[in-house]
Amino acid sequence: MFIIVAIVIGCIIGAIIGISAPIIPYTFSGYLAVAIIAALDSVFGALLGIMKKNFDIKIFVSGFFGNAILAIALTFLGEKLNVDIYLAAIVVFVGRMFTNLSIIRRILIEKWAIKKNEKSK
Amino acid sequence: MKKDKIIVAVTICLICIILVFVMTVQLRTVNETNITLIENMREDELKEQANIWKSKYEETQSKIDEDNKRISEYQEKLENNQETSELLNTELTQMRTILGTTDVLGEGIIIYLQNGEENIISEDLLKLVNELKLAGAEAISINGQRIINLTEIVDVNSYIIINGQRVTNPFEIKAIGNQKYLTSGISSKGGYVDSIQSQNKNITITQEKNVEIPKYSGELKLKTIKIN
Amino acid sequence: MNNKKIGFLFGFVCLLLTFAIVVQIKTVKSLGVETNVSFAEDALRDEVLKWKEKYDNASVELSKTEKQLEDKRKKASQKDETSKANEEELKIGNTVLGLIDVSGEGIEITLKDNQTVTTETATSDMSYYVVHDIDIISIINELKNAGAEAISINDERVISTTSITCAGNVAQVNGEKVGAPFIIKAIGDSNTLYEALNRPGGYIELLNSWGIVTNIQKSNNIMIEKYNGVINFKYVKDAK
Repeated sequence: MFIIVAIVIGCIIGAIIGISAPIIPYTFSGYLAVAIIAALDSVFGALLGIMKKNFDIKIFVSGFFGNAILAIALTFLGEKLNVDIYLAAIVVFVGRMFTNLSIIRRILIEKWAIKKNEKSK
Repeated sequence: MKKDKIIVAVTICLICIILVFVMTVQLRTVNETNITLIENMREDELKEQANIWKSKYEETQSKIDEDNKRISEYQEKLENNQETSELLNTELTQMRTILGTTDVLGEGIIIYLQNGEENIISEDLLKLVNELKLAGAEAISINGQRIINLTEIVDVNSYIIINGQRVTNPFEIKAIGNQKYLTSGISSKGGYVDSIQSQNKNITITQEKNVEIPKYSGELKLKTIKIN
Repeated sequence: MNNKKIGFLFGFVCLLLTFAIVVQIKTVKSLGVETNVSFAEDALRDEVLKWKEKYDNASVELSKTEKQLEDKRKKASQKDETSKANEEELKIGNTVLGLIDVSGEGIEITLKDNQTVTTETATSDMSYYVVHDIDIISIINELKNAGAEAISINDERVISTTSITCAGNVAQVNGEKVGAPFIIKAIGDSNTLYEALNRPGGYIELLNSWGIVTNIQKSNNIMIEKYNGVINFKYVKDAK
């Protein structure tokens, strides 16, 4: 319960600060986009962890920032080397999001099926 | 146990703040980029756009500075209980020059438009005035009638009426502005001069160092308008 | 293999890798290669956004400053009758010039290209069925003839230097791009304006004959904003 409240409050505050903050230079916008995708992948991983009851906050936070930093670093390196590394990063992160999402889906459906079975008994 | 839960909740709250904040900022940046349509522009267009916004900014900024200077002049006069009518007069003369209620002069061009096999109609004059404005004309007159913001150019029977006055062939159109821009603005290939000549009407253009344009001598009555 | 050999191997591999990376970076930089076209032009995009933001902020500040100036003028003109008259003239002049937000009764005209004609059903060149710059110019002219005191096209105020041009599908007013439908607002006696435009032999009738959709509404409260640029005359001088 606590956690849901924390999430909601966090999102609202983030939105308020985001709206009143100045916009960032266009060059950074490219990096920020990749970092957001990396962070979202962490979030989905955390959701899966909650479903499987092996959620570890340390892994989540370290992944959140770690992925973002790595994504930014790789994009920057790719720019210097003339290789679109950021594309691969996006493919991997989004791929993992889909995988995690399908596992979550499976777990939820199984849970629902079990509940249905118990009711009909 | 409780402590752990609180730490977890707080951490998650912070993460949410960061994530949503970053996404909002990114959304707004992208939105601004879309508004300026710069995503699809190439280098030349981008350079041009940057210059356009830059000069708009500089113009606005210098107007702000000018206004601020005025404000402090007024303030000073008011505080010392001095005559402010002089300041008001300066502003008034500036406004009149732009509006067209004073005689003006400056470099520019003089265009002579004459009936040929076909007669000049009001639409020819309307198009010419539009082209001159596009080329940066700051003051325009046709046969001595100053063209101001409320000026009409219409055909009535066989006459052309401007500012409620009859204007007849031949037509002398004066324009003050950058001579090069004004001339090339109407003389370009397929431009105004070409189209007039293809209609069998006559046109000549001369550049002048000192074009004199008389003031608008009509009334300025605003009956319906309300100032906010 | 023993540790020493592994160590050497790793060291050698690192050397090669670092060497390759450095060489690549230097090559890319020196050739000025458009690495990823969007990255190279990003600096320019940054500039565009930067100047636009500065301009937006300056515009807001200018509005505030103009209000302050007007206040000062009002205070200054309280002194005597001539000052009051001058201030009045200044206000009227600025209104005619288009530098002040205004409102009042008037009409609103909407122009849309002919929606139904196709290349098969057209009896003339397709360009006759489309709204052109000369159409807008002519309608503005008729409005002025009928006594319009303020006019705007798609919220661009018509001022003494306003030019209207067509570039393909898009028109430019005051240098700003405006698109169809064209909404022309005019403040003046709404009946006079309405009848003047709808008269037989008028330009609206001509447009209608080509199937161009014209919609004229009378209104008690037309609001027209001021010209949002700065008028800067460089060549004109008062004749003494």
